[in-house]
Amino acid sequence: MSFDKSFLRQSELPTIFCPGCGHGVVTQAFLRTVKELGWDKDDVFSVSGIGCSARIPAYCNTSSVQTTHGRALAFATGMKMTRPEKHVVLFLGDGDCTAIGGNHFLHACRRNIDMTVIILNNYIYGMTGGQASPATPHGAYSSTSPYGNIDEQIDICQVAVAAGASFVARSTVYHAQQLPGIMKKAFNNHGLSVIEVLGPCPTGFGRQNKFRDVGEMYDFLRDATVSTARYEQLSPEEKEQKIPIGIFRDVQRPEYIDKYNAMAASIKSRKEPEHIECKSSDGGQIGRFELTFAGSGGQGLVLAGIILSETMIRQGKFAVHTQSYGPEARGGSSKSEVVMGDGDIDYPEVLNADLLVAMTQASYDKYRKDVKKGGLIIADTTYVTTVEQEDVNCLSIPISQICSTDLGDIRCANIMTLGILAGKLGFIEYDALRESVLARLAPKLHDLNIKALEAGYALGRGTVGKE
Amino acid sequence: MPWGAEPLGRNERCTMNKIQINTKWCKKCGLCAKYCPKNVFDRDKLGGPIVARPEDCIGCMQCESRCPDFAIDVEKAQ
Ligand SMILES: Cc1ncc(C[n+]2csc(CCOP(=O)(O)OP(=O)(O)O)c2C)c(N)n1
Ligand code: SF4
Ligand code: SF4
Ligand code: SF4
Repeated sequence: MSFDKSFLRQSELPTIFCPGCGHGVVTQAFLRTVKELGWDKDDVFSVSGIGCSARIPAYCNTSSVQTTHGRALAFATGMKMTRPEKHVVLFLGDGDCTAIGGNHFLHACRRNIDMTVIILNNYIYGMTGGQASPATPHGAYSSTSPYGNIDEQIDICQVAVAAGASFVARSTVYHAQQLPGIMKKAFNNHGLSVIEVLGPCPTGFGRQNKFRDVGEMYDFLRDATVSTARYEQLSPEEKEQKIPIGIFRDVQRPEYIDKYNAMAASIKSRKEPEHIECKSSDGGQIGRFELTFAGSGGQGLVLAGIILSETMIRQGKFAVHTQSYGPEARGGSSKSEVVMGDGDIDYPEVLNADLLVAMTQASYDKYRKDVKKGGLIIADTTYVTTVEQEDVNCLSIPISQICSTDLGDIRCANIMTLGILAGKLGFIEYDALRESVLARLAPKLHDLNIKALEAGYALGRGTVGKE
Repeated sequence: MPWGAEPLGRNERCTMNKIQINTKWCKKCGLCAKYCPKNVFDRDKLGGPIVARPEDCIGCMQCESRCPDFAIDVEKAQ
């Protein structure tokens, strides 16, 4: 059948590839396969890293992404995990896949995640001018092996088999008409599929290795290869001279997303926070609200972040909590961030805080600049002694000191802070917060911390409009 | 859209396969001519393909599948 050119992104053509470069042959075979499978072009995610081969997605009228050198598999894994119904296909150069991206490749094979990796092995770093890659044959010339390559060539298919990929095959661009058949098998495999396609790089490899023209390189691919079945019958000496092509592995193995989903389902049976009906507040929209707790290790700021997040979830909102410590466990710096919203939270970290709770002078100095104009800083003046009022509101309360003098235990300062937040910010439900505190703390700590929470709530409410 | 450009050669009769070269995309690598089993192509001075003997074409599609620049379109006669 004639190739359907509507599968090409024609505005990008002609390609940047040199005359005869095999990358275009693989592109056509891929798009033919997509058409034959009847896939919607937009449901196909074509992903690449860096290199000449990495241009392929740009020429495909699919959902195409070019990422960074060697890291395409990491990006693609994220895409597949979030959109498992899409078809994810990667185009990696031999350098991109086996050198800088070698570890990603091993672990994608090991995980057996349902994607297809097409490796365009032209034995060389094409784009950067013909340097040796792990796939450069022993003895071959390149700009970094001018006296012949002393390294041994990596066998990509054997590595993929050993690492656990469930479908592994090799072909060449000379065998262009067989490529769609292999691709179809790979795409239909439920797990990680690897197809190594040998191709010529006349510019980076051919010239340095005495191929007179690109045609000779295609002849080489025809003459040097034999089917896996025939290869098995060769003597060890004959095998040295030949490259087997065909399917090396086609098995069923548990797939990563299936395993992940099974695990997630088993965890769901654990107790989830109970939903509490909103009474007092208007239940209104909060947009995206970013809050940073900053202080030192041991002040309970991570726990405060977790409790606040769970409170929001109880209220039917969305929340993400992240944390970072200094190298020390106690006494070092500690930061705990909560991003809250009415719907999905696309980016989990604080970009421009609406509210900063600073529990030490150092953390106040460090993070106060990250608070947005008109935002709020709550400073624990037990430790924050110098407060510079700028274009943000500031609420100064000696939280730790109140806890130790009034309640006899400085450790409940984090919970008192949560009470202050609930009193101050209309959208945090006191009852939901109280439930979250009780659920997270051991029963023997309940009395003390509920007292701290109540006191904090009163403090927060009492100061409304008075800073 | 360059498709539908002048067909080079004598392939007007609908009983023959129609072979078109998109000269805007062709890079004159010569692979089509080299591997055509029926020697349908000649090459011009710069190496570009000329569809010289379309009547010999058996519609094997090797030229189209192997063209790295999507520059050949073989339309089989009905
Ligand atoms: C982090 C990083 N390191 C190095 C480079 C330079 N670089 C660009 S492409 C490339 C190698 C490309 O070779 P290969 O992956 O085999 O693809 P080909 O160009 O042969 O298709 C390198 C090293 C880069 N872009 N980024
Ligand atoms: S340098 Fe090599 S890999 Fe890059 S486009 Fe040219 S032939 Fe292809
Ligand atoms: S194979 Fe394609 S690019 Fe190469 S000469 Fe023939 S038509 Fe032109
Ligand atoms: S379809 Fe086959 S026979 Fe016809 S021109 Fe192309 S390669 Fe030659």
